[in-house]
Amino acid sequence: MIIDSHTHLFSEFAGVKCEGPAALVRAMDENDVDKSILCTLEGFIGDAQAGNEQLRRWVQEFPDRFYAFCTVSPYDGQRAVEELRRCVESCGMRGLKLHPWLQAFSVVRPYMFPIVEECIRLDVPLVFHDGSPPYSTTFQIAYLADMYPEANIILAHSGLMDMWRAALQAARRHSNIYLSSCTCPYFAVQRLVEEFGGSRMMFGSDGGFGTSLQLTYELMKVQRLDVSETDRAQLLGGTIARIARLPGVSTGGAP
Amino acid sequence: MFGHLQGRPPFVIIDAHCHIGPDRDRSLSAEQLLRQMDEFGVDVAVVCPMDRHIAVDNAEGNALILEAQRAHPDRLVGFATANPWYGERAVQTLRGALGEGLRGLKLNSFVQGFTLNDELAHPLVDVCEEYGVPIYCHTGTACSAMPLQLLELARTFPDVTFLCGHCGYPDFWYDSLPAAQLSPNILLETSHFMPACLEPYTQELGGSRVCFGSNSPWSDLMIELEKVKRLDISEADRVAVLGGNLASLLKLGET
Repeated sequence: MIIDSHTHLFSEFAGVKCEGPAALVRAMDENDVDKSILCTLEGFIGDAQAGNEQLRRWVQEFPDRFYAFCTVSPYDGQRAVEELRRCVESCGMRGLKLHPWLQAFSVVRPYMFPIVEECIRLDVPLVFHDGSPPYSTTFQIAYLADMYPEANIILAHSGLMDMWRAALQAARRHSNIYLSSCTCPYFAVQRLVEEFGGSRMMFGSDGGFGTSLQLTYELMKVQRLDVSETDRAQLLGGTIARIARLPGVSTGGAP
Repeated sequence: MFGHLQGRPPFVIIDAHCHIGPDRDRSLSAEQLLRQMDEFGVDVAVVCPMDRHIAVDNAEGNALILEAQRAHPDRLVGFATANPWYGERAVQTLRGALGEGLRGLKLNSFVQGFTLNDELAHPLVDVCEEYGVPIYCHTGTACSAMPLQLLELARTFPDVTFLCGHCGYPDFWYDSLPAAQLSPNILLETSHFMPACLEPYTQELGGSRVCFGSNSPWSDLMIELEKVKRLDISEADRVAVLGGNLASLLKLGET
């Protein structure tokens, strides 16, 4: 089973079109991807709750194919914590996606702490955009792993082009950091799997951006890795199913 | 050299950007690269030194590139490097390498420790202008290697052609389109960049302004080539992007 841990649905972003949920399902079919985790994009730059409601409707359209990770604006304080709880407990969302660069907040500020604490209480992972200055550099995200060793923290891009070495160092230092292949250069993903194996890593595509080619390109990258089939299976779904406790996916036994 | 490419149906595929040589994280020999080019149907590749040789020991790196070009004159086109911090010594290094037959300059201002708009590099650009060869610039890294810094450089030297490496991926892809729009001597290179953005950028700029590159071995030649082959662009644009533009720029077939 292939699970794409990182996709976005939106109408338009920075000149890039999104073809919508049915097109994403077609792209998944073309690429033998069974399930995808949807994240918002418009909820990062607009109303977070409206973004979450849109996610909920998209999952309802294709309940066998989609899961959702919600978002909140950390500036909303207690309302953000309540929105997170609502999304997980009432809407079945399986994680929290934050994008400090687009959402313009700093993860090292105290407003972040109650949100992480709620994720720990709900036992859902936190996914962060990483690899981008000034708010989403890899070590800034890793600071939360220092503060909360019991939180499961996913680096959504494993440092991108220039911070993959930070991702490697952060994941060495903190066993609660997980790494995604999404838009991280091929050689860096190879290096990270060699270091950590598949059990700390997951496939993500940023699918939803433009046509199905985004998903194909990212999936080809993982399939071209020179790694064991066990590691590849964990990358392609085992790890995210385990840490997000995705319903409908067996995580019992070795992959 | 390259006479065999004349009229070769249906078109030539030229990889605008590869690195060869030894490096701490990943090494690639000319022979390994040629095997991949044969496997995936790439006719010619532009090769430049690895990071250490770009940062220091430039002449050692250039010698390795020259050796590869001489061993495979119909398949490899070598770009020299020189770190502008070496001042007059860098000018002599570059002059020597171009005099021996290398066909362009690779700058990585992030690795070499300057900002791309810094006048420090101007003496090297002067040499390239004198020899009529293009300059490949890494872009995408905050503060030191951004597309709009390249724009400043390109406007200062309107008669030199600059390749905007990776279209500014990961963090400055927004800027590579306006940079190319404002200065006709900037071409965009495709490695790592999201397919969803390459399509509108190519449509916006025209196929004559975009060049396929793989950035092997940091990315994977096969996935980078497949990405460009599958882009939703006109066939005329695809022929230009996959090799036509580079063939003209490097004057292949004319030597």
